[in-house]
Amino acid sequence: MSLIPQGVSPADFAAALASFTTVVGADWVFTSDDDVGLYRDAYSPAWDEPQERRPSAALAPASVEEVQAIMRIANQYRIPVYPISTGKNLGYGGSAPTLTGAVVIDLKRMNRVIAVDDKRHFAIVEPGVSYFDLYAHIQERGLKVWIDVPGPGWGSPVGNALDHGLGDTWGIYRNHFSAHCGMEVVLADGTLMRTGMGALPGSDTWAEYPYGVGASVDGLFAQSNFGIVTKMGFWLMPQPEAWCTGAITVPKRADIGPLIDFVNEIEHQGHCGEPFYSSPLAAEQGSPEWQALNAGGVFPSEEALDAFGAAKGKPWWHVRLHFYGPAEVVRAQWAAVKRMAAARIPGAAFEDGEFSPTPLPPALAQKYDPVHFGIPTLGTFALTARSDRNPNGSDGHLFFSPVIPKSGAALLRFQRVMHQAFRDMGEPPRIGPFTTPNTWMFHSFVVVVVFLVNRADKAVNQRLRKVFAQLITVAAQHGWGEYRTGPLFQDAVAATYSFGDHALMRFQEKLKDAADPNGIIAAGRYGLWPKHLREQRA
Amino acid sequence: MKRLILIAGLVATAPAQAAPAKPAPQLVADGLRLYTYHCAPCHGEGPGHPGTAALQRKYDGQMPALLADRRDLDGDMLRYFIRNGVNAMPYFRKTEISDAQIAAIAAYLARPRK
Ligand SMILES: Cc1cc2nc3c(=O)[nH]c(=O)nc-3n(C[C@H](O)[C@H](O)[C@H](O)COP(=O)(O)OP(=O)(O)OC[C@H]3O[C@@H](n4cnc5c(N)ncnc54)[C@H](O)[C@@H]3O)c2cc1C
Ligand code: HEC
Repeated sequence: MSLIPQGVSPADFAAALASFTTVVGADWVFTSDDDVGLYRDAYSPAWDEPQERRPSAALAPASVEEVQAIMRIANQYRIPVYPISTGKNLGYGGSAPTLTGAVVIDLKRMNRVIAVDDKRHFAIVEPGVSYFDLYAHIQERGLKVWIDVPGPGWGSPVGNALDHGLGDTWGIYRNHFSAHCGMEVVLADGTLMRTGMGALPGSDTWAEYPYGVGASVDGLFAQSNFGIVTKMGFWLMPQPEAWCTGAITVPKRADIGPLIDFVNEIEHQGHCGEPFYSSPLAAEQGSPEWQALNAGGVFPSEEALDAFGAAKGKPWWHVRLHFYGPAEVVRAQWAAVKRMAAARIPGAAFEDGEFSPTPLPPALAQKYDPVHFGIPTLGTFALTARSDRNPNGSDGHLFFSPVIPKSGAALLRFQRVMHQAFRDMGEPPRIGPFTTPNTWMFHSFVVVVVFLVNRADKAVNQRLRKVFAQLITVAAQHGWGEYRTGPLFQDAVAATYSFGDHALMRFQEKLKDAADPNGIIAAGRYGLWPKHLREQRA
Repeated sequence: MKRLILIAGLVATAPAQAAPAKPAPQLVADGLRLYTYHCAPCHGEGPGHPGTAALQRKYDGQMPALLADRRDLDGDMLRYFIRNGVNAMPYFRKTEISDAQIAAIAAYLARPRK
């Protein structure tokens, strides 16, 4: 064991570990360098540098009672702890704590599916249940519900939602935290609390009505550090009878405005699932015409870009829509979309897509990406794994992911501002004319840029961290905040949410000091440090 | 990329038939189940399997791209990759895959084949 938590004496740490062992058993207390090393962030952008956040030990309790006992011991010895569910938060910090020296509480062994109801459409799960597990549970029983999955299926509904994770099916289900309903939480002193209807003994609407009465406190447990969540409810979508897809294209740059306005309108009325925007012209970036237009890395004028599109004979924008519901209805929805879009968006053209009853044949689901049908996979790792596009692969990546408004004007402005930010740093622009938004969230876009990290070359990672910090700053100056970030950047990102002289952070600090006076849970998560560590904020 | 070179060395020097002659059928069955759950989502066959695609690109046919077709991966090699990761494949914690389970996966990969 090479690390011990800051401010804890070796004797106290040893005593705490001995007590933890009596609770979870020796097999589930990890202290050797090899075992603890498995809790490092495999995708860390600071691998083997002092900035890398590293745990001192890890514990893997099997029950709520064990979690409660751990918290009482941690409080006694003031041991900082850091809960993870499935610990697959790669790209946003992996399984490593925010505070170096914290003891990871790995909830992977708490893996029971407590309930799935396909009449009232909800599930209740423990933290160690992965999307793969929940999907298998539903399939094995032939239940008529879909789950909404993020790209990687090995994460968990609980861990994902607690970092405000997102998926790809229909409206309200894609935002996993807002689709949750009811929690069970172990507080810093070991108290067990249930939120919403779970607070009413005997209630059987825990995963259906989120509020109960009074203040809604669930938000305190996501992207924060007020407790360890041990159960969580989620609303589920009933399995639709059928699916169909279709796409709209528009020729000119400025057409993105009416296109997004139109898609917003139909989506927010519930007529389609997740839209997927792309630029067919992105494939032309290798062409001599583009090389000429882009010479010196400039962002061409809108007129020049339109001329480029016309010369290539391709539309600037493409949006794929997915419809879910009764067979007649999905067909009618697509027909209505075409009629309305043709009348409202000059130059709109349409690609009729496929139709299928559900479940889709596997090859068809694969063609459109299984995530649109609530099927968990790990196909998304193609993003950074070795391939023709990326012959060296990568040692992981970092996600830059600011929130922008759902409008064409905002997107075009974002492209230019962020493109310039890269140029000002002398970096090849990773945001530019072809950048399209991600549409996971119902009422806002998030634009994601993936930066590859390199374990063997620290200089690459150091430069990346500088660039990343500057992108956060420039984006915030324009009102675009990160929706989520890894431990290395949580202080910087939290500091951009500064309205009223950081009133929001000051309020959270008051709550933190009251609810976790020894500051032992997930210190520093999203910039929220306990009193005794506040000076070390980055 | 020191790590990669080291791995390439490991692969090159691995004996072709390092596996025990006849793994117990139960262990092989467990191994298949674990392989299907933990590895196949990336190392399976067909489109949508980034591990298979990456190994195709890495070896360009010099080795089978499909892990399940490899015969050179004994228990020690598997443990090395599962506990150290490689490139975009992250390592696995012991709460995900225990050492005994790695041995079962190794038994599956060493299963008797024609
Ligand atoms: C290629 C790739 C694609 C990705 N695509 C997506 C995507 O489409 N959508 C998306 O959302 N993410 C995506 N991610 C990010 C990430 O992999 C997923 O969000 C993943 O689900 C998070 O890991 P997890 O579920 O294991 O959560 P964990 O790692 O278990 O938890 C995340 C964090 O939440 C907190 N936490 C977890 N459990 C508890 C608890 N019980 N009590 C209190 N706090 C807790 C901890 O701070 C923890 O670090 C992607 C990552 C990669 C590598
Ligand atoms: C998230 C996707 C993913 C999962 C899950 C995964 N792998 Fe991999 N694996 C990869 C990728 C990608 C590579 C290729 C690395 C490279 O390009 O060098 C790889 C490479 C390997 C290699 C190295 C082969 C070589 O000769 O270089 C081994 C061995 C391996 N994986 C074993 C496993 C086993 C066993 C499991 C299950 C316990 C597993 N992997 C699960 C993605 C994955």
